[in-house]
Amino acid sequence: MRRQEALAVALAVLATVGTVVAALWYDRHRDAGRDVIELLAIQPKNGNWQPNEIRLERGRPVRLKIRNVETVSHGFALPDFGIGVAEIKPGEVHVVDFTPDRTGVFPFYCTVWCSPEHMAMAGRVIVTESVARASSDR
Amino acid sequence: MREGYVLGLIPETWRFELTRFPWVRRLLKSRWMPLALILFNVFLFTVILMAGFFGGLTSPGNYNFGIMIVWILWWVLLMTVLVPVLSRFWCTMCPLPFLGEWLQRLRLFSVRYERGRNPYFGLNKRWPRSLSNMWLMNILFLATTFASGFFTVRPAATFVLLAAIIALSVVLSLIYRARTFCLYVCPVSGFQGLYSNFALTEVRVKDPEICARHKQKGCVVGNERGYGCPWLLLPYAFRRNTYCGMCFECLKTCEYDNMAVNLRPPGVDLLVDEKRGLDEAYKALIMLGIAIVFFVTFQGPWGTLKDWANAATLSGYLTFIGLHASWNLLVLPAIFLLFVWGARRAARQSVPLKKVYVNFSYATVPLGLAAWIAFSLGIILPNGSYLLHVLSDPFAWGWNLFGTAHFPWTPVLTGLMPYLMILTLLIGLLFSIDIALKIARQTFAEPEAAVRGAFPILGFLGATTLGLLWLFVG
Amino acid sequence: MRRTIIIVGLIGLVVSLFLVGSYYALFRYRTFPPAADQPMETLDVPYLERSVELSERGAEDPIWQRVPSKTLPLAPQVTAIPWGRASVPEVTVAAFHNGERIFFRLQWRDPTEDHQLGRDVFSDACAVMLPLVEHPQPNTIMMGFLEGANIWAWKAARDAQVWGGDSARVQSERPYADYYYPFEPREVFPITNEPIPSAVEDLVARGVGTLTPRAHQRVQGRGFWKKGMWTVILTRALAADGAADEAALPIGGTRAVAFAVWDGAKGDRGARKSITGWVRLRVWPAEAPAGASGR
Repeated sequence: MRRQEALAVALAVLATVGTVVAALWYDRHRDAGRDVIELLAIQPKNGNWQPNEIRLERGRPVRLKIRNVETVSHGFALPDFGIGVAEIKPGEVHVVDFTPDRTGVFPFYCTVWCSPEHMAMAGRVIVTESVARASSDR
Repeated sequence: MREGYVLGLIPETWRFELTRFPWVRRLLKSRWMPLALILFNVFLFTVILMAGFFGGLTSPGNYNFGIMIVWILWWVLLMTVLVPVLSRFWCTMCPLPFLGEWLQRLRLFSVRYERGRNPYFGLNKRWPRSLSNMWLMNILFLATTFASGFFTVRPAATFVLLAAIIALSVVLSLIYRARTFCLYVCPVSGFQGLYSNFALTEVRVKDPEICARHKQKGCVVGNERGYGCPWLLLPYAFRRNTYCGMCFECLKTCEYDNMAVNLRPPGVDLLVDEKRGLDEAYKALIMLGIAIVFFVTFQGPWGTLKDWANAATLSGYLTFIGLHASWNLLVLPAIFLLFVWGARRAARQSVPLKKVYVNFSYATVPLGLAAWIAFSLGIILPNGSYLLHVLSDPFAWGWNLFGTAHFPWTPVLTGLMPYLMILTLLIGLLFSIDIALKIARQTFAEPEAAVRGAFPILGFLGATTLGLLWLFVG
Repeated sequence: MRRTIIIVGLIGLVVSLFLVGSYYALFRYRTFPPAADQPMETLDVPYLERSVELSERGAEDPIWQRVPSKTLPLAPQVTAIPWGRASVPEVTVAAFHNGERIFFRLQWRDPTEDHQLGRDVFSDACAVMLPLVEHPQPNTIMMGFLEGANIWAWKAARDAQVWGGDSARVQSERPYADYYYPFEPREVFPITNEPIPSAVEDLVARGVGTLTPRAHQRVQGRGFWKKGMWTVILTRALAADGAADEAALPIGGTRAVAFAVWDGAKGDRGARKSITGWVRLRVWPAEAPAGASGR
């Protein structure tokens, strides 16, 4: 009886606290070794891409989690790196992994006609030399 | 139709005892049952709560685990399988009062029992007599549906609702006895209770003689094998499913193995004239009324109504609440009253109007249930495929646990949907007519008066069915 | 007594957990300040009693100084596949009319002049799109024009064929890859040798992939590349020919217009282009002082 009670309590803790901890741990573990940037797709009227400017370092792998937080479809295009997600449905999250291989300012856009201001739904990726590399070059 | 037969086919007294199989009885007598099911659902609802907590207010619902599991999967399962077939089997495994009950018992698995002592931690107060009915649940359920437009699109709203239910259950469990919360407060308990009268399963005494001779009623006061009925009932005197939470404690406590779980023909409890009241009559009508409102609002062609329900504007939302509440609390009950009044006049019997009203309200239960099943088909068939998505990415964090995160939206059998809906409604109508005729005989003693009195009620049922059919097909 | 205190404490804990949890669930989600509404740009088309010839002089005619111009940002076309590549950042547009004809001048920076076609060689180009409805839905660019759109498409390669010059010779020696048959000494299909009446194709489209030449080609134009800058003039009679697939340009009215630019050297062709959003085109009547609108 005692052991079964202990088992039941253990299972209850596992089902609650364990679930929360496991979910948070798994999410962190998935992104290990990568810079993660959460990019929210929002039509210009409601605030446009958040963040609107993404600063990256050349040669450093990055993971973009592009989340559509609205009730209209959006898309994502970073033409200079040949990256595109044709459609991100409302509520969906798309994960894009890439490593910027050159420096500069590169615009990204929404690819779906989401609103009258769709054309203005754009942001910039700014890629600079990595701090480490820049100092070693010197 | 033959007296004493359901639809003139199956004897009302027909029973098939499921617990006659030793393994079923052993399973139900184990203290892991229903604990194991509850623990699984505790896990599931932890994920649901997390998804609601992190989902925010703006994320759309179709990619949220909480919304999909609660409002698409659970609600549909509840209406189509759990209640009509398994009675209150959801209450068996419901994780919401889990914390409250754990605090009351201070045990999860074992039984805290000392002869002559109250085993419960908590204040153990009695629930006020004036609230020991369905009225509070009627109001709370109706109030919950005011926000139905949010629950399905705003994850945080689902979180707040579920968290409120859990918090309230804990608070009430600490103040009041046993499952007071489940009995008289839980918004989804009331209709499960009423509609369970239609269900195909029941927990009942096998041989009343044994109970009559047995003085130590373990099923009521509890013993070292289990708790006294947490739903504060007298299991040895069960006649209706309404308030039996199917926790199976009485199967454990009964020293003579005299409790049984039976299969039975549908709808027989609706004919049991015990504790019938206006609260249950209103429950029946409110459920029917809400089904109609939901159809019109969420599956009908009137976008304005949907905007009102989703609170696009405050005035629109208040209009929705006003219309919704008055339709369910005033208009539909008044329309029913008109027909009942007609029935009483046609029968030319001096039965109190209230009694006629209450009795005939039970005839609307099968039709109401059918309307909800039809509504559920309209939810699950078009939207079910989203479930695959949320299973792989429950929190919308970009996960893909089972590789189905980008499964496209795939409506299933939507071409057949109208026919399934019509068929469901017609079956519901058939049962409602059957019940109405029998209740007419119960209410008006004279057989001829019963036939005369039944006609207006059949008119109400027919008109309601036609209205619903028009909503589906038209 | 102690039990009561514990119970009250527990109740307080549960209620506050619920309140805090609900607060976070409801209000922790991020909110964003709405961006200011970006008003639709207006391109004024003043009335001037003048005309410009389709020549280098016409392109640099001082009259263009008197016409209000607009520099419009260009974005890569990323609605239909293949997507554009952000190759041209902006285009400067000016237009006027003389009661009979309307003149557009499009200018954009392009370090290379590309007027040849071949395998993986693409021409520079630009286009003016006039929807066939006066006030189109914003989502009609590329998505399907619903009512259709009249498109004036100028191509450097076509320009070279029409207006001659060195480039015309080069063009005939290196025909477009699609028509190039290495074992045929000469083209045998006359369709490819049809005389080209204008450097600007007068097209109609109702959505992606439906570009079709109009029966009556009524638009003329010519482009000049100089010091890393294209200047293209397009002109059409103001009065429409009455066909349903030609955009009307009512004097005194406004209508929508959009522009597109291709940089052949960067692989632009077809849907791979840079486009503007809708711009309001306001055609001033003759009575209005041109100077007033120009300032």
